[in-house]
Amino acid sequence: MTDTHAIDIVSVTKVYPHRTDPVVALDNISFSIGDNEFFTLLGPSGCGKTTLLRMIGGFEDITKGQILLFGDDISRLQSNQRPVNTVFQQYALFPHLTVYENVAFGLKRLGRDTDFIKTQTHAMLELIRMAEFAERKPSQLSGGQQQRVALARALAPQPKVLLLDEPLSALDLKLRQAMREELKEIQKHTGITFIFVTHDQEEALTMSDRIAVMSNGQVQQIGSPKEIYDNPTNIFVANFIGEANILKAKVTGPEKSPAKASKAKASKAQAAAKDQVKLCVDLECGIKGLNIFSQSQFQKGKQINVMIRPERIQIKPLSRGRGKVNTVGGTVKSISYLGTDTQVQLLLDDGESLLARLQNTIDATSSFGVGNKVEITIPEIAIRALSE
Amino acid sequence: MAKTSQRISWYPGFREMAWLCLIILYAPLIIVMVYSFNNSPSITVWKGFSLVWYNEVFFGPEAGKFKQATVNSLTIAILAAVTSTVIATLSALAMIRGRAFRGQAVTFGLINLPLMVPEIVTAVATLIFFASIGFERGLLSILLAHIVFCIPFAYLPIAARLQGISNVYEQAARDLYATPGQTFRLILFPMMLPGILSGFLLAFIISLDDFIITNFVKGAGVETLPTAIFGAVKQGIKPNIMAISTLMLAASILLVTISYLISRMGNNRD
Ligand SMILES: Nc1ncnc2c1ncn2[C@@H]1O[C@H](COP(=O)(O)OP(=O)(O)O)[C@@H](O)[C@H]1O
Ligand SMILES: [Mg+2]
Repeated sequence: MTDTHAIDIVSVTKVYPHRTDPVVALDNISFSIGDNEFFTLLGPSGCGKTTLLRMIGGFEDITKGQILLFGDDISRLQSNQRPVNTVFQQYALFPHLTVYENVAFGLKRLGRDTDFIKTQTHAMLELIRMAEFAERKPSQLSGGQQQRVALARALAPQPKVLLLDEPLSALDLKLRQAMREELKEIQKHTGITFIFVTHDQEEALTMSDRIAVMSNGQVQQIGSPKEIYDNPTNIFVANFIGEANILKAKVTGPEKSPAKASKAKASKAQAAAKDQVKLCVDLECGIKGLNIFSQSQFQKGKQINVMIRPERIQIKPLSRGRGKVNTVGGTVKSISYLGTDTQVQLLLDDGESLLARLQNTIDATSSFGVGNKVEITIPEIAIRALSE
Repeated sequence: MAKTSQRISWYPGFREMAWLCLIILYAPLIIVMVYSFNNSPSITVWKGFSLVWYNEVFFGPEAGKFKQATVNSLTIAILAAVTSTVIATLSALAMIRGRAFRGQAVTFGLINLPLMVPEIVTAVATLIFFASIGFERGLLSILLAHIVFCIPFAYLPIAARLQGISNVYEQAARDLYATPGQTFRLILFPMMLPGILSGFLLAFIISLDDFIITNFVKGAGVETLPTAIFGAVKQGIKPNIMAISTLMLAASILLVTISYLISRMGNNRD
């Protein structure tokens, strides 16, 4: 048992049978989750996150493939035989039992001795700051309190892996943000592997060690929040995580102009993922000879999509100066003030639209208005080639 | 709600219609109740308050007959209610929590069919059935018949309750290391309990009250309270019948109220 993963998903397929149109909820997916990881399954509604979580918990049969828990195949075990606990989306606190009895339920079923059950249950209630509510029934608690009791109940038996299915989705915004911190704290404190399901990209980015972005029953990309935000592999991930401008480009060859050695070094440091290559591309909007990062090699002459985040784009009023690198002309279509940022909708001279986001720093002055002609700089270091 | 009920009383004739319905429904019951306290053998002329007919019921010449009939009725009602509630609970679990099976819709129809079949048809059919298999008529035949027709009455509240319980609670219990047996005993059964209790009470009252089927399948000389009352009435209505009826009515109201309170308690809890 050296260096085993907490969970291995091995070629797992799930088909919900149906007479006329069976649903393929998961399509031959494989990946591993490390011990002590806060791992998030992120994707739009219906992409199969809950299905995967329920299969790990043992509530759903596996059509094909295997799930390993610390190296052992648990695919055929009943859910009460798996050392894995779940925080259900609807909490599912037992309404006829008190908070204390709810939290102690798992330990009692495991046949732990009475003293241990008592201390462990009280420790859990302390952990979620609910000790004084021990004798209440779930119906006498607020939504946030019920949520924390559900968490304590699932943590009490000290599972090897904790599964959480959109546990924060029923809470209001303030509470949700507070609970994010608390969940992260508890995960660090207990050292239990968390598998967290959400469709909220902000939640995923702020809490996770690693994220698996899913869509249509497939895993699109797995990586740290930074990797996924900075280096999305395809259009789906680029669009689902944050906002993205997708531009058309043509590959003109491998990386060019090694003369700018210092700049290349800096950009190498920027490349989060190791397995990246550099390509030279021409953007369709007119900027030529850009050296950009890509996860896959493309042949010369290939039409590809590249991505740039709105906050990486720079806008300046039209000027007559020279030495403008990576710059195209465009028109300001609209400006929306968003508090911390200002969002600018641009129309490039070749007809493509582009979204930019400028931070509202102290000295930020709007040096341009709607309808103005502006210069738009797209730094090559912030551009990523996307695979299909 | 308050608003609509206020409005509806504005319709011309609504008030009168409502009173008429209430009177038609309850006047006979009230008359029976009032005259059971009449100090006279007449059932139409009021001669003052007295408990003489209640005394007659408990200590009069027919007291033995009615006592035996009451014991029979209660015994049958309790046994029939317990048995049909158990069967109804198991059927509800199979129908609602079991895997989908071929003929599920037909099964659902079969469970509830006795509610739709005219009681006299069931009575005749049951009688023919017992006769054809040579089953001796007596308390046991009444009990069997009662169990059968009580099942749908017990089934309805139990199934309604079970349908309202999301299966996520059972999943949560299994997730927390409960075996299927423990999951039922510790989680599902307590959550179903209000439905089971009202099913039981409904079955109990239906059995206690049944006349038609009982009258067909009872053996000679075996009486339940309704058949005994019917027999007595055939020889002329005496106020002691009114006293018995009032007692039965009081018992029914008590049970229905308990059943209502239990189900309301269960609904409030979650
Ligand atoms: N019990 C089920 N029977 C049939 N189809 C289902 C069932 N549960 C989920 N699905 C389908 O499987 C797909 C994935 O669902 P789910 O795992 O719940 O997605 P998510 O949690 O990501 O929203 C959806 O298309 C959904 O309609
Ligand atoms: Mg889901």
